[in-house]
Amino acid sequence: MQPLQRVTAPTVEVLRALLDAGDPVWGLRLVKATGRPAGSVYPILSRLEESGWLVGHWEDDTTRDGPRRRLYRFTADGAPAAREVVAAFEARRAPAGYWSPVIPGGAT
Amino acid sequence: MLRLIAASLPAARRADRLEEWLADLEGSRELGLSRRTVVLGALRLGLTENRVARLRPRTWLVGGAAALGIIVLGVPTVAIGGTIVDSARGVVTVERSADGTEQTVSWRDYPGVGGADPAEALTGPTAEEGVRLGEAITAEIRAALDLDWTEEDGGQVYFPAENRYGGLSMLVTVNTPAWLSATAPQDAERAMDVVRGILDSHGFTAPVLVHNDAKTTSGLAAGPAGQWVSFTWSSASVVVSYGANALLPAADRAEFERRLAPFLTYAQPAPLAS
Repeated sequence: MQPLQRVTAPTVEVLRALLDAGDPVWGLRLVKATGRPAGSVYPILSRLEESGWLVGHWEDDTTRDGPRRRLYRFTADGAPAAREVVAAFEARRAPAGYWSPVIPGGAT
Repeated sequence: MLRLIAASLPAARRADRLEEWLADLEGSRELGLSRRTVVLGALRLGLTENRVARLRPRTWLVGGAAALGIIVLGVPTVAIGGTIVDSARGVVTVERSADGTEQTVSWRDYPGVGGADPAEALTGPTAEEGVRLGEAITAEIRAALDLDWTEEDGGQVYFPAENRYGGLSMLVTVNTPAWLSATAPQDAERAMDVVRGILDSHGFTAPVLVHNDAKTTSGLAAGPAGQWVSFTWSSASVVVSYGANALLPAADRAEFERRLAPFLTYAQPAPLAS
């Protein structure tokens, strides 16, 4: 698994939503859960998958016709690393509630 | 539209991405999301995943020239030199002086992007100027075509860029939000001429057009310093977006020059495959 080069607020929100869900999550449900546009969430999922944090797989629902939904879950190393990233991100938030959009240097 | 975007992706990803997007499109109503957000999300991902492919022809040209430089020109201060790629050290240039001393330079720390001229990053627009230029160009196009336009929901504009030697570049990739029209121009040829004129006035090439099928055309115009304007034109709508492959944030200029300086002595090795 490769470390993330930069961790942005949307990335943290996606990681947090996946952690909260516990089970594999439909990609579009992460768009809904984070409130971020799909234009932000899709590239984040792609990047996390390429970096070995997530693995995508097709839903196993034979009762619904049509194209299959793509579900995402953490890899074995991805879940603990995500918890660290989310915790580190939260720790860097200023007490007044200022939300830093980018952590330079990322989660390495 | 989704099929069109998928067609622009690398072949290995095309089918999976399309099926995922079509399923999301079908399911968007179930989650109370608009179908537009899925289309624009696919567009954004398509632009992101195509960034490397867009760099490739120029990269090979510059990389080839750099390789030629090593062979023909050599480096006067180096008695024996060479570029080595191994899994432990990545891409390194080993310099051996006449007295037998050896110095190793690791290209993993290179602050630019392999295959691209670093001078372009210093003489071209900054990342912030690129965003402003992209907004200006797309605004001109929108005004000239006089259609009802919607901007893609806000999101990340700056993306980290890899240096193509196994490290992270100080340059960033820029993708501004795309604009989607509710209808298409009635006179497509005249509208295309207008777009060509606007792009030309900003130093961009004439768009290279790809006719995906009878109803849709994709176009890509290249600008200075790795900038581009992309659009997709169908009988129903037009999508316009601006991006740049490797621009330098203004605040990082001094640090970029400091980190670049040690590498200017050496010919750029060929980038790693991406």
